[in-house]
Amino acid sequence: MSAVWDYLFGSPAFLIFGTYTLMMIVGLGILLHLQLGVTGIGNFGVAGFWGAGLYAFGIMQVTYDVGFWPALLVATAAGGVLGLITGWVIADLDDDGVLAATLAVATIVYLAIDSEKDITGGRVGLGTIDFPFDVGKRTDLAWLAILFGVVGVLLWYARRVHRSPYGRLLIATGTNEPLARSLRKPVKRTKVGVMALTSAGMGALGGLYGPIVHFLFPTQLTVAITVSVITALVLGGQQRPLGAFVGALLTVGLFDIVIKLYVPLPKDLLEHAFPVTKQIIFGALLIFVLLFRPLGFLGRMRRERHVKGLSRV
Amino acid sequence: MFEAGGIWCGYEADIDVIKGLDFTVGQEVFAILGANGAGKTTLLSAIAGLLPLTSGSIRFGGKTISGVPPWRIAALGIGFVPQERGVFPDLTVLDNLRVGGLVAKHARGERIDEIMELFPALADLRNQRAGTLSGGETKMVAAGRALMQDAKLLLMDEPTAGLSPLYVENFFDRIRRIHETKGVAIIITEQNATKALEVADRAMVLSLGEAMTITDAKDLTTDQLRKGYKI
Ligand SMILES: Nc1ncnc2c1ncn2[C@@H]1O[C@H](COP(=O)(O)OP(=O)(O)OP(=O)(O)O)[C@@H](O)[C@H]1O
Ligand SMILES: [Mg+2]
Repeated sequence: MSAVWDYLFGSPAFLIFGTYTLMMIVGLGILLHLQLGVTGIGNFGVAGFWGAGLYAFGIMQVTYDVGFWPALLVATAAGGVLGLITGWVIADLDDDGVLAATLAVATIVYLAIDSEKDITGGRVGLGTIDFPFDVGKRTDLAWLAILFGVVGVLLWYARRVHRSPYGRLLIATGTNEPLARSLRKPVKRTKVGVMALTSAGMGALGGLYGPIVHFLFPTQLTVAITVSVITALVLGGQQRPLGAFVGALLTVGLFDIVIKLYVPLPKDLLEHAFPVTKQIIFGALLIFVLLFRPLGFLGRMRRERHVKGLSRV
Repeated sequence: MFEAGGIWCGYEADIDVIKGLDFTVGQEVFAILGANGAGKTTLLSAIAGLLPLTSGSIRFGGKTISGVPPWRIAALGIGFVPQERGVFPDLTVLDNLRVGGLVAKHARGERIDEIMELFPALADLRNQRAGTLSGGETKMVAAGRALMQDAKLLLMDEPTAGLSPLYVENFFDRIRRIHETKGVAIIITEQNATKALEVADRAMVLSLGEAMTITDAKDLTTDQLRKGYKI
């Protein structure tokens, strides 16, 4: 029994770090679900909004020596403002335009952080960032509990949106924007609002990631984050609040926790080939799902079970 | 109640599809007849605020609505039932009726009941996704959705296109009933002139963006129609 326990939980630091990553992807995935799955905004720049929050938090804490709460507030605001501006720019673009523009935003964030030196630390990095509290040896576990709480709140919110008039308006906008224009609510303002709110959430998640890595590098903001989030969400089901959770378990959970921790791969392979292989598999998986099961593992939005008689899908 | 004065509009610069239309619509059913490409959809889109005018003005209920964003026009009481894609496919029938309705909560249930009464076929389908409905059912949801918005003027772009004859008969009956029981003015475009003239009070024959005739429906002659359709 204790051998099994040791095998599973023998290296808690790694397990906790893997779960941090999982929770980040799930959290971002839930927010992307509100953008893509509900409102039909294909945000390909998740890493940028998240990164803006992460670096805003780091800059506040390290460069300006600001406390945890104000720093987190700035991180949230950074994501929100970036989302607001991006939302304004993309509201009238078609799907391809939205993909290109959001990717461009993420690239700009990355380049700005990478080339600036005095405030962001550039490639040298920015650190160190500590947990805002210390409860001894397992402070990291306490932080994980907080992350669980935050993701739980996001999930609760997403489910609430689905059941609300606001959610209906978002789904209407996402599935038939030309028609939504002749509803009694301004479509553009609705879309900009969604982008601002969800991007603020991504910024906040970025801020919460700061204490986990302690040291920030521009390389943490690459498109790999975005691909992981999109893969998880699309695999699980982009129209379902729980989609990101299921998808993240099947991707990040499998790779960053199960394989990394419990499959005895040679160290060299784990460090070099593994991360690359993982990204390739994620990319391939994404294409596969989009081709053969575009609604993902969990399928369609909701209420399917209420359909009476024969479904004509 | 509704006035269009010298309106011109189109999709590309310098190419106007609607060329100087003047007409008024009162508390009536007003039919716009014309061949494919005559500009019927373009005209209704412009009234709904989805397409800007190049010149002229549109007034509704004493207010100028040209240049006003579409959602404000909707809020003023103009409901639009487009020719195609008139429902939100991922929402259920019921949610299609509710969305953006913005009717006071207590009145909403009543309103939905009225629409179900108007289109009894929808009652059994209330929890079905609109994207899985048949063509005729879709048209009913689209019309019901526009009615939910407290419309005083309903713009219907070929609401019966592609429906079986029996359905068409039924649908026109409903349109007449909507007008009579709810006091809604209706502008309806149609290919099927005979059918439209049965329910309309007045009609306009549109040809290449120009009004050939505007007259009482019962007075419209076959000749006037032929001229409009260039046959
Ligand atoms: N989005 C568009 N961009 C450019 N031209 C357009 C567009 N939509 C329609 N047109 C042109 O405007 C003219 C009028 O089209 P419109 O759709 O208003 O005709 P219609 O009377 O509704 O025809 P139908 O009975 O076939 O629906 C046509 O010549 C058409 O080619
Ligand atoms: Mg048309």
